[in-house]
Amino acid sequence: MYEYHHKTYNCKFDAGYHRFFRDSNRSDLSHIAAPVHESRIVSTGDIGISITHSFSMDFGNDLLPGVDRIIYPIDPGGRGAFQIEGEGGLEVSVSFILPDYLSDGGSQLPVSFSGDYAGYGTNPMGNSLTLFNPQTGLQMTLSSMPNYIFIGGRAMPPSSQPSGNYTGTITIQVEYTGN
Amino acid sequence: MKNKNSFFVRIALHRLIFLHFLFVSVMVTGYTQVTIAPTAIHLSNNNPTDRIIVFNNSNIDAQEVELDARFGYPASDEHGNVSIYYPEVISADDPNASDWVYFYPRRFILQPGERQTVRIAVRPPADLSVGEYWARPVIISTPVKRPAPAAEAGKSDVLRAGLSTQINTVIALNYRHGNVNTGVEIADFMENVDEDDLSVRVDMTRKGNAAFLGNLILRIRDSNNRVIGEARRDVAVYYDLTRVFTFPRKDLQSGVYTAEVELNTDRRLTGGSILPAKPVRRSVRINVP
Repeated sequence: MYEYHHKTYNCKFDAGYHRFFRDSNRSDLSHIAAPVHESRIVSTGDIGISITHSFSMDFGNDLLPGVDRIIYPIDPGGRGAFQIEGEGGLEVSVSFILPDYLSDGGSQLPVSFSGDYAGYGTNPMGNSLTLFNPQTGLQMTLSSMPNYIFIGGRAMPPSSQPSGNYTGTITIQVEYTGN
Repeated sequence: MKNKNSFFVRIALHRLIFLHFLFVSVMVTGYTQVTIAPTAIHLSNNNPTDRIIVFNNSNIDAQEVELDARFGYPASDEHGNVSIYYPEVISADDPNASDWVYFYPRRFILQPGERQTVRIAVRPPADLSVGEYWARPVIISTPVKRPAPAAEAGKSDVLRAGLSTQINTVIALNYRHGNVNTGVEIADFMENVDEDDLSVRVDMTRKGNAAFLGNLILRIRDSNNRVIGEARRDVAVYYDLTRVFTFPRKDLQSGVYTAEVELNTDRRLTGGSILPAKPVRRSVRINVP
């Protein structure tokens, strides 16, 4: 079963901070100076940021005119999946540029991402996600583990929607906010 | 006996072959991965060029990469949420470097496993005033287009919808022209206790003519001066910045506490050089009922 968490993101510290608070004898920062994943170290020794795109959003090939298709970020089939790796403890801003419609080169198919159609967590299967609205984006503190982001959405073909192969582009933008 | 042994050998062999194909099918699952390093570039009139590395770690897709520069800087809302702010209108007074940042090459294709060194150079105007100027290089990565899947035979009424993905990675570029200096002032340092949380708010204002890049360290001490909570964050104060820290109220007993904040520039930054500044400290007393 997937755990379904909904939290209004309001710039609170992540779980790493609360852990720090409870560890009253810890004054060092070893939990932040996490091992750096090899993919982020280039030959010069610089540490960078890696963004991995595992799965593209796919509403499927069996849509019906007049019937919406919704993909939730916890749905393993059809959701877009990303992974962000950088220095643990650093904060990043994650935003999306999302289309209003898909196109087959002639006709348009409306889509929507307004609502809690995205989620993030440290589980690669997407269990126990913290949800957020991809239209407003996310500020997050990078975990020392890979950070997973999943995105879903809603396809809204009207009853007059011609058949075809409708495509569009999602842009994910990641930037450090501490530089 | 011989037939029985050869039977078990065949079973084991079939299982081995099955596991091999399973392993191979998992290995060839496609993914796209782009790595950019470093994530900060600091240039000056004595050092007007540097480089970044773009690495296509994908296992299936070639990536078409393009670089651009925008004017932006970290800013916060009233709740302390920090994001990069890109002004819609850039005035002549804004310390905008994006118009004179150049990338070589600016556009290229990387096959899976390939990396590209990109030189970054600035050519500022001759009459540029002393100070620090900012840009946010954007590294735009899209898969090299593959042919769209053909319509399935005999299924001309198929309605299919899917999306491709573009990855934008944004790093920081600061150009220091002439004599630059930095500092930070704590404009306000407040606490608030309600039934759920203890919140501590830090409002910061930059001093000098360059961004303050440093650490913010917050400590909560009890009445015995024992540290019961601590947090550290990288901060980049370009103009003003607000950060809010929240502690669960249930972990605090009634009593008097002290919140201390320290801002310093004792920070490692890969790819850039931190301008030193004098540390700043403030404390505030907290009564938890």
